[in-house]
Amino acid sequence: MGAANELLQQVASGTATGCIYALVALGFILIFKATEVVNFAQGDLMMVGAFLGLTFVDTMHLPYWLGALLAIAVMAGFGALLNIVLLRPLAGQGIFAVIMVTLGLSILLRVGASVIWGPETVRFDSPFSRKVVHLGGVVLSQEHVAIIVTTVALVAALFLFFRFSRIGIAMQASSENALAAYYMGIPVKSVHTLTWALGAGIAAIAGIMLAPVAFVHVNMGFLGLKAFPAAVLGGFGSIPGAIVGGIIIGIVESLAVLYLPEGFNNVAAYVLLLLVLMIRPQGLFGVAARRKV
Amino acid sequence: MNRHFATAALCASILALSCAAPRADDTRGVTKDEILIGVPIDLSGPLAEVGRQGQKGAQMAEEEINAKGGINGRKLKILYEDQQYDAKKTVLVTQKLIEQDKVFAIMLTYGTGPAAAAYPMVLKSGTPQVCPSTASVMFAEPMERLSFQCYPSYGAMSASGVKNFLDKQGKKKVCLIYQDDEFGAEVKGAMEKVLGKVNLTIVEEAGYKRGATDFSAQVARVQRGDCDLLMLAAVPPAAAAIMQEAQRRSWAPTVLIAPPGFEDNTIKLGKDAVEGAYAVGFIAPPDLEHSPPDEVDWMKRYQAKYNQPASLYAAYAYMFIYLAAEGIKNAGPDLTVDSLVKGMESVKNYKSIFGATFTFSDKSHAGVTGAKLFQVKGGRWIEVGDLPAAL
Amino acid sequence: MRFAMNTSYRDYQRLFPHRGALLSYAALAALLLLLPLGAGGYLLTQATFVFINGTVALGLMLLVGYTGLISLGHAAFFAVGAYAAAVLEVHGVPFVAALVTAGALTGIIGIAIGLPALRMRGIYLAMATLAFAFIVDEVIVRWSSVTRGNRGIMVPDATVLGVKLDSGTHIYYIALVVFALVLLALVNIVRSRTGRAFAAIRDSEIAAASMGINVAIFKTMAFALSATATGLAGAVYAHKLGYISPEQFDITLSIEFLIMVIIGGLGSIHGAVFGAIFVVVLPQLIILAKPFLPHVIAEQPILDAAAFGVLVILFVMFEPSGLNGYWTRTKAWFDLFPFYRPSAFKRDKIGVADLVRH
Repeated sequence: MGAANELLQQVASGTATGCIYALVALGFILIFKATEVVNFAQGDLMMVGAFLGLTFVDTMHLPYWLGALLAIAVMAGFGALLNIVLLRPLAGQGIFAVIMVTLGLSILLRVGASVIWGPETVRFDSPFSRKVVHLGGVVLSQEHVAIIVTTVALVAALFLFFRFSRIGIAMQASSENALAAYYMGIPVKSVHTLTWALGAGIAAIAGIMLAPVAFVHVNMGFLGLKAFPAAVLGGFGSIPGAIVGGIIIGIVESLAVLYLPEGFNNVAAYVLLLLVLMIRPQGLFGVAARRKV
Repeated sequence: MNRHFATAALCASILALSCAAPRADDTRGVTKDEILIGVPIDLSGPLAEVGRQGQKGAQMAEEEINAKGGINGRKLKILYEDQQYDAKKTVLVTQKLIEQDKVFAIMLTYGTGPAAAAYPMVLKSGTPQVCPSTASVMFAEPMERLSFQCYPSYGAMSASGVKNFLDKQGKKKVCLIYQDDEFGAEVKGAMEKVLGKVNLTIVEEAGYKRGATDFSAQVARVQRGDCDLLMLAAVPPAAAAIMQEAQRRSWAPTVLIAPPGFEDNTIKLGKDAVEGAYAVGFIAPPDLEHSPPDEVDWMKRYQAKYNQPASLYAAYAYMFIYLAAEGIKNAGPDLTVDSLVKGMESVKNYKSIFGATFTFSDKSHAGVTGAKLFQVKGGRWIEVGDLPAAL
Repeated sequence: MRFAMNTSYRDYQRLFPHRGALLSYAALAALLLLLPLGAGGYLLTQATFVFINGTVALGLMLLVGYTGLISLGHAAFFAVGAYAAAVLEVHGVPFVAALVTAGALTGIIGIAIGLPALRMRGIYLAMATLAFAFIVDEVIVRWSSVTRGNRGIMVPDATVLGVKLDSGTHIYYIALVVFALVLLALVNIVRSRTGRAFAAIRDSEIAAASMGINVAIFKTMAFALSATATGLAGAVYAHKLGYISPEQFDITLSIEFLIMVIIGGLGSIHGAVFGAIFVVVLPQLIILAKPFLPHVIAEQPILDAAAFGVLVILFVMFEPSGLNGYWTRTKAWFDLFPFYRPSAFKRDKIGVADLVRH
């Protein structure tokens, strides 16, 4: 196929992968903005969400949409539970404590998944599996299209949620200034729990979307490591930034395989991260913050 | 001063405990009734599914051999240790097996990297290493007196496969997608050698990091080369995903899969995208309908015992335990490291129920040199040819 | 009851608070020196890994615990040290020279990281170190003309003055010597102006700067020293294992290093050592405990990883001072008996170090 077509093709596939990074980064940023917690277990939450979806749809033979929604709901509940049990007692401890707890959680999630679902790699088909869509000269798998569409829809829904719903506004307020929100009568602790539920739910969506493309496996959460560069690139604390950051990284990785020497695609995300941190630490959309003494 | 007395007492007791030095026995790991074998295996790491199947296969062989009275009057006792496919852990558990459990030989170590890490230590300790669970050529060449490699190497098998297509199907443009680690490197090296012999090179190649999930870029890259033969040095999930991607792009070169991808899981994950692909392997996956009767009988016994269908990895482990038993039998009633080495070297044309034949000698400790060609037909691997050594 | 109170500045300067402590440490040193006489190869290997881990933990402790700079990618320094030593020795450089060069090279890389890191803090720094680790890993794989890429390097035996040092006992002593040197260096750094500068930077960078501490230089120095220690440990590790390959130095290793430091107790040298011992000993304890656990739990082969995950979370939540916290409190119980009061050690937040009693 022609060079221009090939480029478009790669950009399209890269966008789809980037959307997965974006979804994981999104959950990650939501949690960070609201609770100042860096959740290193976000990728593993995605993995558990995928396995739950697998259980509901393939093992219990529920219809795909019902199974997927149920998995998302269960994960949201699980996220809330994690916040109450693990993160509330940590209030006030430095960032290092939080990093270590979420790293420990990440290990436990993988161990738990391995015990419950075993170490095998499993296939998880969706209604979009193995069908393709032709757009001009570009061939996109329906799974990739589904990922992109879901991401767009989710971002739109979140935008409306934060803008127009009471809870959404309360969440924004808690993110800006938890103390002030508390004084205003907003139940900040509950808002934090809700944010975790939302973050976990989004991770589950990412997992279920990714599963048909990448198969389900206990180590699938390692993909989540790329969400951090995405979040930083977009500007830590910016939701549209997370999306844009994720997509940029997905596209860069995709093009790197094609046009750059061997191995660059593996580190493209991290090189971008370092460049951003050195040149424009607040990322594309972030605001430079100043800390008072 | 009680704290310091306590510290001193603690130090003294540790010193005393560690002085409980073991007494040297005749041949380590061999008694009148038992032969101790150590197996460092992945039970909870990235290869756990394969490791656990291997453990079952080995256990089954152990029990069967012992039920028939053992070898020259001694029963086999196999000790399994979890190394989680980690190099450091493998060194630790292998050392524990040799020094604390005092095993006679080390077998079935999982993974090229981990086995390589423990290799110098095993050799230095004078312990024989028989049939590691890796097809890396480093355990046969350079030849070490104590090391016996029972798999044909990844490189040798891949080369045989590629040569087959160069000769028999006149392929000229060969591409490669490979996993970016030691086994991928070995396959790539072997391919370059065999292609170099006829003045060809790899037209396009792309690597992927272990654990990668999206291969559209890699497939796009090699597709540029317009190849007629695509070699995949990949594990099942990657091989399946790559072929699905090729299917999406309506690209259908002849696909040849290198050994680790030669598994039922590749078909399970890839479904119809894998149909028609070839693979090089060493024995056919056990199949209730197509395997020879001895093998089918084994499969039924396995299923009855473990409530799981028998897999290729269980077959490898079972076969290797029996192969080692053959060498031990040849060594005779006076079992020492030397007599084992001679016993293994005198194994000639030992045919296992799975269709593989092993021959060792004092010049070569590589038990198998050729390979077999398989193809996916009707959703299962079917043997379609025998391949001679190409390098 | 002993009154080990500080009544003069000289008391603060003492390395050992009183003669009893000196005797204990001397006995420990003697035990460690004589261990190979009575211990089997397996115990020596465990001890060697404790020393290697301990050296890394000391380096990481200096960076994270004392200076407050988070590093999620320390495995990269470990890898650089291991590869530098291995590659040099493959080309004929004698062991000691290779070891020193490996340490120095890693230190320089530490500076290379430290400089850009000046602009980053907190989570950004953590991510940058993570990114750096991935990049180093990839470079090692790609630069196969030097590192043999994924095929790995068989490390030649160490030779000192023509004598081959290849047995487990030899490597034990090498690891012990390297550990002792790094420990000595660190104990001195921590008690010096530099150490106090590090702690000041950790507690409040702006306050430290306003007191005249050149934050940039000290932060970079922290990185360099931490990297050097870790690089030396990596070189010893290369010899212990005999074979190194890129996959041994992945993010799981970086996390393991962090676990050591957290469980040991952040901000203390004792903590670093306890953490190192713990990480090596825990799997053994699990094996010993297996017969006593309910069948369901004991059967799971993945018990080691689960135990680490659970313990990290428990320690962070309930015992931020880590094992060192237990050690300090136990010592105090004996010292102050019968006047010990638990509230004297009200729960500290992570990152608070006791500068006087290291």
